[in-house]
Amino acid sequence: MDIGCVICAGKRCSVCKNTGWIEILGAGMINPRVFEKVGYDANEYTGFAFGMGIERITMLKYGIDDIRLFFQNDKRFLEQF
Amino acid sequence: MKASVKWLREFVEFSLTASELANALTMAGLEVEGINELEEDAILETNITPNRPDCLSIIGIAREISALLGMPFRFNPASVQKEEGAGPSIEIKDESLCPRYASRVIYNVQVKPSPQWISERLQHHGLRPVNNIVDITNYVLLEMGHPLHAFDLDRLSGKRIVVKTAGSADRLLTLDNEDRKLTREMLLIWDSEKPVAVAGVMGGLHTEVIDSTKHILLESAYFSPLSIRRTSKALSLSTEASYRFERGADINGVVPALERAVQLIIDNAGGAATGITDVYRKPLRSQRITVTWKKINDTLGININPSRIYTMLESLGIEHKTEGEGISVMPPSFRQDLRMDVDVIEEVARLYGYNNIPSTFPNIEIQPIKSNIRWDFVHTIKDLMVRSGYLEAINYSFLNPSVLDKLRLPAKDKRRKLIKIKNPLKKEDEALRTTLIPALLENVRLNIRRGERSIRIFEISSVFLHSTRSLPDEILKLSAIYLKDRDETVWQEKHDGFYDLKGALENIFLDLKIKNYSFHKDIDVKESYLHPGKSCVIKINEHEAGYLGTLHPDVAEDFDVSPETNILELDIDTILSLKSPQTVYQPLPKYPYIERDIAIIVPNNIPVSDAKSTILHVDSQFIESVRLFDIYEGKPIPKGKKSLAFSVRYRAVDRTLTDEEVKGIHTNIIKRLQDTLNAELRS
Repeated sequence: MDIGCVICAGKRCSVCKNTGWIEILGAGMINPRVFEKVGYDANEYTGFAFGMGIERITMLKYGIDDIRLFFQNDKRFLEQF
Repeated sequence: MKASVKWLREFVEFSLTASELANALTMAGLEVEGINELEEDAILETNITPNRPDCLSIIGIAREISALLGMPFRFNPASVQKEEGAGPSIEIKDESLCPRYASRVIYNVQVKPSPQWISERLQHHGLRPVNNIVDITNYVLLEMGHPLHAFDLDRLSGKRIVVKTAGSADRLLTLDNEDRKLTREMLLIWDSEKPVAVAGVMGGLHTEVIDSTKHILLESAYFSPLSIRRTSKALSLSTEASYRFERGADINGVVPALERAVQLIIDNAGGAATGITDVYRKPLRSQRITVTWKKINDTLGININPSRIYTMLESLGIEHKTEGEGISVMPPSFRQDLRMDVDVIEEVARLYGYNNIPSTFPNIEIQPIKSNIRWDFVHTIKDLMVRSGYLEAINYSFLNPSVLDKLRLPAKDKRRKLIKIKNPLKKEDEALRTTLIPALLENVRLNIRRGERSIRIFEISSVFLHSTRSLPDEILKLSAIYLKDRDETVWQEKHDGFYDLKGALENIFLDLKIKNYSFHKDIDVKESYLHPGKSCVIKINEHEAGYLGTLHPDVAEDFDVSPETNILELDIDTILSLKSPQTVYQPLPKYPYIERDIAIIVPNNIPVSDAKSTILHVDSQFIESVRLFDIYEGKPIPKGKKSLAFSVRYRAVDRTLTDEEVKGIHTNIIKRLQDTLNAELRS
């Protein structure tokens, strides 16, 4: 799932690579085989799944440009939050 | 996959602008991540999901566009070129890894730089031009999605091809001039003597096409996705070819891609081609899929006319026929992602347009969430640490087993029984962590190296200990480190960071109303990585809850951090189980207290806490509190001893204590201190 680019408000910029959109999460129908594996009747149930990475949302919110910063635990980074 | 709009227009004559096209493709599940506008063209940067290897090509994307816009797809496979003699000798030894291998030899080619239109297209799609032969194989890879490889025929011993695994062949010098270490099960292309390419991944340097090459052997094959994936991962080598083969190439695209390349080579490099050798013994058989109209409409929440579905499937190149109350389809060779009814329904949804499917709210009952006490508790502790000036770190849950040696953990330590990860992100970090300390030490090292002078840092996270049950035990730990700057000029404290860390811990105890905690020096500290003389065990109600101490100097050296690093480790669940459940109100005292001071001289090694508890134990009824107000070493106190001064407060709940009563207890205190601690009364 995409949202309108928060940097340029859809006007096209380098962050959204000129598309006006940025990806925020993945979503979709659950594969019936997954249901079979965990014991649900795939003929009776359908599922919709979605999930977002907390790093990505944080990067968008604060304009952080490098995902590795989250796990380096640099004091100068941690102190900002 | 990058795709030139101009190139796409060769196969569908759409009039949309690049950004309109990008939008249409994205909405149909073929995400366009970026558009690179050029002078006379635009390059779409697409993000193709792993189930659609057919769209890792210009014609694949063009086919999608034609289906989306309802415009004809103009693709005419190259006609077979004139043949001179029989095709080359091909032998496949491992057919499960290579079900198809087709080849033609082209004699007397003229190797030279490609014409501009080819080299320009390659560059726009992120490929480096080499020479006309190599460039044409790459051009066809982009156009048709099928990887090809050209060998210098004269450098193939026996002028033949054998497809078999590496076996005892253990090295191959690849095109990128890397001496690759092979494993037995990797699939290779051989000539009659030696390996000449890593199948589907990269060719060998020795047989590459160079300026002096006269005759070439062109390979177009289909390799098993799993085998290519394993080889590519083992070699840490991903190429345009391996990327496509591991997602699944089109087995019926083998010959058309070969023919297209032969056509382009003869047009641009001259030469004459032999007939084709096509080894393909077990043709692909797609599984028919049936789906009812009802299931399509129920799943999507729409009501769609069957004739519209027929049109959609035709435009995607999918064969179909009516069957009962639904449809039966035969997936084409390039759409092996279609395996079950929902895959067909997805195609309908994509072309119908996800945005045209009406939204409805799910009808569900929502329950209020119950608060999770453990979680709240962890949150409180985190807040308290932050307020004590500590920064919260988050590290990966993985561990490089060699750090356990650096910590000097004994061979039998339970933290050495590691839970290994089958497919680690980094080869060295192959286990789940059994301690938080090494990662925090690394954080300290990194910060100091980047110019920080002191650091307070902590982490609360699970460690994973081996268990006899099916899953490992997950133990929640708090670990904290304080490294104080030695040269802090603003305010010189006498002590190192030990008491700072102890203060942070006592702050937690205070907030959680944990009162019966104590620190035990010496014999109890079993942690090999702590300084034996500068560490202690933390106990609550006599239960061990953690450790506090200075890092062992040898360990500090191995981790490249200062030996003045102080460490706190706490077991969160032990604390949770020992904290007092609820505050019980105590009426406030109605009668006055009496205070008496006492000063004693004790040996240096007696902790204050021992003296304090000795006093408290003399009389539990009337001694209300004991407060240390002075500690002194030096003249006139003898060497090896210290003076401690306490103020003891007495009170009774039901009356005013008399001077006589207090005197009696006070005398007992003096006696007990003399007997148990070898204390002298200081006059």
